[in-house]
Amino acid sequence: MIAARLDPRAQFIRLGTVVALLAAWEALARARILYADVVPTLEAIAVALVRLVASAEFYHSLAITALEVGAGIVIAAATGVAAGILFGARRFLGRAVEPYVVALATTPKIIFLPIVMLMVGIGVESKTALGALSGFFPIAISTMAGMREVRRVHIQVGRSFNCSAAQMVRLIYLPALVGPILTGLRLGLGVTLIGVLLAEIKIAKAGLGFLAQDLYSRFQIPDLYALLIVVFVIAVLINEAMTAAGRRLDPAGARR
Amino acid sequence: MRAGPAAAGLAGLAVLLAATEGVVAAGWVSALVVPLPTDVAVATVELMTSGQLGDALATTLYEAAAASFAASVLGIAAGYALFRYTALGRAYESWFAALFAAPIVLLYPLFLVVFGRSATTIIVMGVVTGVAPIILNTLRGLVEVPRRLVDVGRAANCSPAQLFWKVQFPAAAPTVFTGIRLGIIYTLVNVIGIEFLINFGGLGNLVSATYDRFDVPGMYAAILFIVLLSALFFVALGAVETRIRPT
Amino acid sequence: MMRSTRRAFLTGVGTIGAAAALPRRAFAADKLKVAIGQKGVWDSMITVFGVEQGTFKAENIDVDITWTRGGSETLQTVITKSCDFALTNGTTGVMAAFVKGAPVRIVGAEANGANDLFWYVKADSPIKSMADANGKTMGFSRPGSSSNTTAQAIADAAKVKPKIVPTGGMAETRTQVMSGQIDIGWSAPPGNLDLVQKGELRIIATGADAPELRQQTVRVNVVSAELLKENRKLVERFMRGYVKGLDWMYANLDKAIARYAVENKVDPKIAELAVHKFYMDKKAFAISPLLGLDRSMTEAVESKHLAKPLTEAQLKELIDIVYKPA
Repeated sequence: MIAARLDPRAQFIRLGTVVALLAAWEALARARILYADVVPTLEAIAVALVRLVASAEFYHSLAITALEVGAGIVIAAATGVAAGILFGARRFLGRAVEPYVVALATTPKIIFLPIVMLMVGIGVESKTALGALSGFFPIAISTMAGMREVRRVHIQVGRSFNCSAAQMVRLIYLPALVGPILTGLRLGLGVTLIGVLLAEIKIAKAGLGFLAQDLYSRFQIPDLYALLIVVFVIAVLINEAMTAAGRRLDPAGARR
Repeated sequence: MRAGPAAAGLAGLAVLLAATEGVVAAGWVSALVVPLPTDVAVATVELMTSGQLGDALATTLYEAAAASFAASVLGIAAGYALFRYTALGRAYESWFAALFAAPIVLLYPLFLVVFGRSATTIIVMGVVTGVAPIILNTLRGLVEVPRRLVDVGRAANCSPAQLFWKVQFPAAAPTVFTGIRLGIIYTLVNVIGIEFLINFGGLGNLVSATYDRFDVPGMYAAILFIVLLSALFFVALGAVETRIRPT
Repeated sequence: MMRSTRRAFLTGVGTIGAAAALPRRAFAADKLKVAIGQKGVWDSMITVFGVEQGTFKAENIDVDITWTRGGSETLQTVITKSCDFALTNGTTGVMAAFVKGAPVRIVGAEANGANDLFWYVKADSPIKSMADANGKTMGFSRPGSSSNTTAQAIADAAKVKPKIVPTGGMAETRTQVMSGQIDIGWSAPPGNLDLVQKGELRIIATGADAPELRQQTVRVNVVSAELLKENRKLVERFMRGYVKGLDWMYANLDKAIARYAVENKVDPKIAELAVHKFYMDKKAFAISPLLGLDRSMTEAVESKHLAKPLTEAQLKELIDIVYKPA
């Protein structure tokens, strides 16, 4: 992270950029080059923003998506860390499984949505399951990589004290894995959120993705922008919080 | 040494497939949810001969490759600019970090309007979503190049361009490639995700279309090809990385 | 002796009393979960009216509606056992699912003909009618949908060859028309009728322009095969409630239109325009008989929903019209 957030030149550049972008937007909105509705005036967006945060519909949608993402990431974390520790500790198993895990890790999980829906139906569970599926891989892989870096000395000390597997996990592995797990969690949260939103756009009765689709189909474009702004702000805030937490809990590894 | 785990992995996969065949054939699991692996194989051949698979594969490959390449070039260039002009870097780094966290995919209807219902929209979205981690990692990679190396280069009277290509980029390469890997994941997620949502060809759309007509074996075949395509991208990236990095 | 007898007696009375207080099966309403596509569309509201006007209650049924976005979603709810009934499914989709072993049965037609689809152009477009549509781009929602087959049928009837392309939902399509990306957009009422009213858009074709479609059942109502086998009477009762809901709509057109306007959040005048222009023929929603099955099967084969047409035996197994109104 480059130092000096208070650098006056940087502040000036930021301010200048924001003003320029807003001005360009407003100009585009007024010029009506694109189909008028698609670039609404800043005023229209501001009004829609106020309307949105005052609407029950928004909070209901937010709650549903938060539930799906939250439950999904919790399941992903539990299974991902467990899998990461298992495959990291048992080297042979780890190496046998690795190519398949990596191949699946790089695959966009939204394509598994139909299979998930065939198994658990089209409700909230399908979005949660997809979220968990998405988040599992970054967490598992990050944990596995972290396991490789647990210092041999610590492991040997644990073994020499005849630690049981549970004790090894609790006393030796987990403390060393805090950093990698947090990194995995941050990435996992990112892909889980995208996965849940895509699933909600495709098939849902509620949630932020569904609301976005609904607003668009009713052609309430300023409201759509308002929703996007709010969702973006929330996502960024959570990401910032996790980065800060990561820096606090694992200063050495924070730059990973 | 290496052969052991690989063989074990393949053996495990074979056992899993055989077990699936048995369980589904016996009717314990509905074939509408998990088809017979042999049916998936048949569906794959059918999709290939009807040309659907080939077309879809070509479309997705083109969109993903174009987006990844553009994102990498733009990302590295922008990352370098942020590094070279420190004020810019300080101003924009956290913005790009924020961009990375934001679910851009929600903007797709608006991209559709501006760029039309075409591959262009999908590629643009792939670039926009994949570029942020590349910019951030390029910036960080360059910042972390040890001073000693840069000093050596300067002492040898390198021009900025030579300094970049001979000293900074090679030193920053590992971090940059990590960024590209991350960028490709996001690009693929968005490219295939959007294909899945709108009817504009590609493997993502094939998954959606086969699901719509209840062709479950065909759907699994399409999914399988997406997994293979994604893996292929990473293998290709690894090959490029080996070429570029001296070690 | 007396005490224990009394106690036994009181316990006996208590038990019988408690049992009497428990809802007995015969008098409790049956619960049914119904999935319906396209919330707000006129015929999607038949069940809504049934619920609101108590026609299902009269059959002792408690109906719980799940709205889907159409397509195969609706049918999937029955296949995954999330719902008992799936209404407004495309006929070809149901055939495809059935052939693959899905436990579904058709209990009635839902919509015959595609009268409610229409195609429009921008007010200033040089296209005045379908005759001008040669080589122009004409939109439909997604491959295999009724807008797809209807667009093709309309073009064939007008003897022109437009470029028929998928354009997605109604909002997307309108955007593409307004920004000039395509020439002719598709829509279903009451969508876009406000712009037609204002003169910004012009309708150049409707589903009625493809006459042979009028003799084809494009959407059907489906029940889970299990439920049909276990409780045929219940299915019959539901369908009776459904038909009564439909009867109410056309016997109380003004009230139905008002409710339809509220559901779609449109001006009542637009709702009236929509219903009067597109929905005056009640027969389009008759649940029996199923029409034009051969044509549906041919289309299904073309769109790869079916490998080959269904046999007589398969059709007999698939179609079971439990309730035939007089």
